[in-house]
Amino acid sequence: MSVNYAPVLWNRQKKLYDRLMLGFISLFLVVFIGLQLVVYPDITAETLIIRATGSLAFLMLHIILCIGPLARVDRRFLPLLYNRRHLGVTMCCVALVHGIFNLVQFHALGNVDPLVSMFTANVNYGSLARFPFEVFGFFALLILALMAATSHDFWLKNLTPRTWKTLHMMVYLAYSMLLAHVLLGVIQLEKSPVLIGLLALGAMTVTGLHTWAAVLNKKQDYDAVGAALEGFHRVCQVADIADNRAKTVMIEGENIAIFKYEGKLSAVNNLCRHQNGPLGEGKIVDGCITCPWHGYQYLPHNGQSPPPFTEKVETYDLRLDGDWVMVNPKPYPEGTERPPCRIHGVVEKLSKIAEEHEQGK
Amino acid sequence: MSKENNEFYIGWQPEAPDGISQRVRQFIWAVLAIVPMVGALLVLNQVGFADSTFEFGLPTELEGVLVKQPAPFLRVHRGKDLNGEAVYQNILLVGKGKHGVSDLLANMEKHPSMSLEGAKIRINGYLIYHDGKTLMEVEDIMGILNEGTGIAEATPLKQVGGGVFVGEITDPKCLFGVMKPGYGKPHRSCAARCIAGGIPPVLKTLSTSGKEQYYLLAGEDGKALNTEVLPFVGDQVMVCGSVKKLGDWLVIYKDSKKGIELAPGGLKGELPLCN
Repeated sequence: MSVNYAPVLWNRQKKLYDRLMLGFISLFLVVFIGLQLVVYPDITAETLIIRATGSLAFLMLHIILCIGPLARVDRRFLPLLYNRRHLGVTMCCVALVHGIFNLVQFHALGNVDPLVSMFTANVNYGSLARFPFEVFGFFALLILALMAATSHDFWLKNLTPRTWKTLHMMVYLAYSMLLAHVLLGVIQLEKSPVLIGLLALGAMTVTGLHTWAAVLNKKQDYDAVGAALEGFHRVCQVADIADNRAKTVMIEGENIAIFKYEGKLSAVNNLCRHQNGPLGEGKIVDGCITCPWHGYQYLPHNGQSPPPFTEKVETYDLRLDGDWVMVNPKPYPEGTERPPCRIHGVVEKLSKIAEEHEQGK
Repeated sequence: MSKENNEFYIGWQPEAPDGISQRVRQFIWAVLAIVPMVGALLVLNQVGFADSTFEFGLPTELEGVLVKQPAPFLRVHRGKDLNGEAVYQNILLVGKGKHGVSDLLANMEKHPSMSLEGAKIRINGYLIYHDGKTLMEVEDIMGILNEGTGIAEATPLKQVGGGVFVGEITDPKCLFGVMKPGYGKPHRSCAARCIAGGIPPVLKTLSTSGKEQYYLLAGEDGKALNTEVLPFVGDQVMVCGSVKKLGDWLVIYKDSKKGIELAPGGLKGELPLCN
């Protein structure tokens, strides 16, 4: 969390993350370039750079896309998500080297501008096999560059988290275009079943993990039970929520996280104001709801980040019906204080009723 | 909730909880195995690269007679064979970047009535060679040793065959050394750019026995076919025509009555008759 903008807010975890990332990049390049020079010494330097950077960037994109669902499936992968931004920007830089070398190698020094050449050298837009695959790569790179350029909290704040998130969700469009770029491009020449198999394995891993995470999330989300009563919907029983944790529910388009802490319940909007992270998958730490993605914090009773931080989320009214938790999905403006719903008395009362009921028998 | 599930990671804290650290370490070990494996598989499953050469940065000076059709060649005298016959090598001339050499020649032909066809000239540039074919990327025409008569020095063009030839149209500059690979889908746009820039097109064929053969493409009258072949660059096509041998090169003089057609999949090499 920060109050002022800085290019990078370094901490120990980020430094460790970046060192590992650079180590893996170096490892890939050493293996790829070293083996290439041994097995195919006739390769030109330009082709070597184009193939090494293209392969590396695409591999990095697969890892980046797998981190999100992995962290949803198993929270212990969350450290991989924490500094994914650096991984994304680095991947974009590698992809830019690939794109620029391609543009120069295949389109520069001709009778038209290289960018014009990219769109006009091959005009078989109506044929799948003959399609100008470079166009897919160009637009994918444009998306990745736009994402990398806005990968900073300054843009997140100024574009608004919703717009920023929408922009960054375009990574899936970029990935689809890159699949087409590879399939309609180099795979038309390099037809080894191993390469086609690797491409298929990558795509299946990405889609499979996303599907798995979506199914699990759906199971974890609560659906409101029964009809609304005075605007309140039944969600779950008090015992269903672990201490210092939350349950999430989607009612009337409102994504709500209900936290249990210190014998109380509070409800806030589930989306962190930093990157729309799932607050409901977070934890109460030092009395604050702590986002699992980047550690942004909010006070549960008013949805405000503790001073000097300024982020705020919407709050909701809660009440108990027996041991059922009920929530009113009508949101209060961001940062509005709502008294927590106390549960100690209720639990004791319920125990007493149960005891009397037993004795009456 | 188990201790493991109750652990919570916060990036700005100096240490991650034990259970989380352990899972991340497992991931790191997996990536450590996957990264070099993927790198190696990608390299080892390529089709490979030709042992062609582009002597970029190593200029060569040559003297010879300029032949402008069916493509710009420099006929260089290489001495005599065992029978005392003169031996010539035909070096295909191309320009810098993705350009043919015609603009450079046109600049040297000071007057419209003047032709360098058949002139003895001295040039320097960078040699490109592969599989018995030699080209030069011309850096400069250093001098005209004697002006041409408009007729090339006796150029033995021998008809060696004819029919339909199936192969990929690409540019010889990239194919014979400047780019690797200088053919196939990834190179398609580059080949189109080179041919649009005036480099004569070449048809790369593959016989059923797997042997590669290369043919320069020219019109029936020997004139350039660049514009006509552009829509087919990088595709497997069928070209109908007669083949003549020009020293080290084979040239297809395309039948003007037959258009270039996309070849059906799997068709290879040479068919004896044009339909």
